[in-house]
Amino acid sequence: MWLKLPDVIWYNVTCYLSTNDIIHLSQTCRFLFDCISNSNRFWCHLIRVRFGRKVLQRYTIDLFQQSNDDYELYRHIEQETDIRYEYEAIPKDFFRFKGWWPKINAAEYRFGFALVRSYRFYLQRLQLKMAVTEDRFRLQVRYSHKFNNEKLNPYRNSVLLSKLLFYYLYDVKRLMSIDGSKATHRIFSHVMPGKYTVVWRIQLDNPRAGLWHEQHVEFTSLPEYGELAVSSWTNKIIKSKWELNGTNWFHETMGTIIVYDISNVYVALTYYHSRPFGMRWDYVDLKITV
Amino acid sequence: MATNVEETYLYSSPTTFKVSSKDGEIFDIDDSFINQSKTIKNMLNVLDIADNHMPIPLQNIKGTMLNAAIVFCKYHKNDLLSIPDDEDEDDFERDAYEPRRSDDISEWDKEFIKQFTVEEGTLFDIIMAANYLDIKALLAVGCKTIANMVRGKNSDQVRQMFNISYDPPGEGLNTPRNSVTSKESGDNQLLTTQEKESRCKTPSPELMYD
Repeated sequence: MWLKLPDVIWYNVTCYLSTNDIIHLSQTCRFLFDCISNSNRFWCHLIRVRFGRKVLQRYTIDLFQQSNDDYELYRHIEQETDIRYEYEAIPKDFFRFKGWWPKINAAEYRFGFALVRSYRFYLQRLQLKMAVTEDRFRLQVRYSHKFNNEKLNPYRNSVLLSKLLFYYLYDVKRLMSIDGSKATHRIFSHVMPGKYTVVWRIQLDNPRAGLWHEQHVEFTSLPEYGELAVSSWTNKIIKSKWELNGTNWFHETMGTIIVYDISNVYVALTYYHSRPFGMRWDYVDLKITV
Repeated sequence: MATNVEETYLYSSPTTFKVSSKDGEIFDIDDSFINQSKTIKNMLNVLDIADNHMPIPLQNIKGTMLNAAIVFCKYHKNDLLSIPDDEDEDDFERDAYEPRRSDDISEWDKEFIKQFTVEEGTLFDIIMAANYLDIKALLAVGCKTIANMVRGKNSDQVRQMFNISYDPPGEGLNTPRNSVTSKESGDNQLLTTQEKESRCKTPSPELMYD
């Protein structure tokens, strides 16, 4: 009898359920499996309920219909000689960097390469669209938090696209313990096209937390195929954060990046001379926005 | 005083109509019901009924359910505006990792829905009625109640609760590891749900979760 309820009602019920409960419900019988787990309509509905109409439009329709045909943008980079000329042409204020500048012939060369790529996209940004093909998405999608990518592998081609997309959106995109030393960075791998706000979790130890003299600490997020975001903190800003939060951990939005194609996103916290004192940070999140 | 007079005037002469249920019972409905039930509202717009002594037939709904829906709408006639039309919201403040709340059913609604949960099957009827009449608030209460029943249960428990017999979902992500073979499936039809469950392993846990 219960299975005679129309799909719409089950969709409505699942608005109130966690993902685990939804999966349990879909495993009860063939009808509910077809109605929920095996239905593109259902996953699109769930994306709309959880993330809103605009995200649904972008991730289920727009991304797969658009394409960039300027292949020059994707030109290969393997060695520094390939791009030395391009690298040197990047104006120093593009990065708005006061301190550290990533080199292409040092330990941080990947970061430097990404900078060159990002600058190519920056120059072309007005003609660019966020685009990806279904095959590449299926092949490259990775989940970072609580999901098991190994188990996904045999199913990459058979799982519904909309279900993979829901889990991609639902997945917490988080990197733990960003190192503070000068040239290190962490990488979000295979980030889908879209707009993301970069959120850092930070704590200040004491009211005198800050930097030496007139220095800056910079929070950088650099997608290979997209536009970067840099937030620069001075002592004045750190002081105001102390007044707001005291010794509590707090979340701070450090700009919005735009990704045009599946990218690695490089995240770094950099400073010129000395590490900011009395300041701790433990993770960075990428949050999907529109 | 003036406002009071106006109010009494408004409420003493509501537009009432008659509806008849599947089993021939006839009910009076007033504004509170018409405003909340989109189906009836549309019906009245389309039909343009001048003679409100002829009952509108609602062939899909039992008398008891129709009565309950009318009671529900009478109680909720004033909070019409407070129900958000959440179809179009793009709310980024809300945490996308959390489902919508379903523990916010009001006391009155809880009592109201209780009469349907005690007797097998009537919750189903009231939800179908709410769906047919397109009464958003009632449908929400019904769906929340089902959600609360399903929450935290595994597939076996859900099957038991809804009295669903287990048919393996076939090829796909959720295929149970030890699915019933074709040879067994023949005699399976003769077994009760519980016996079947004891023979089949629980379906594999969700693939992508650890």
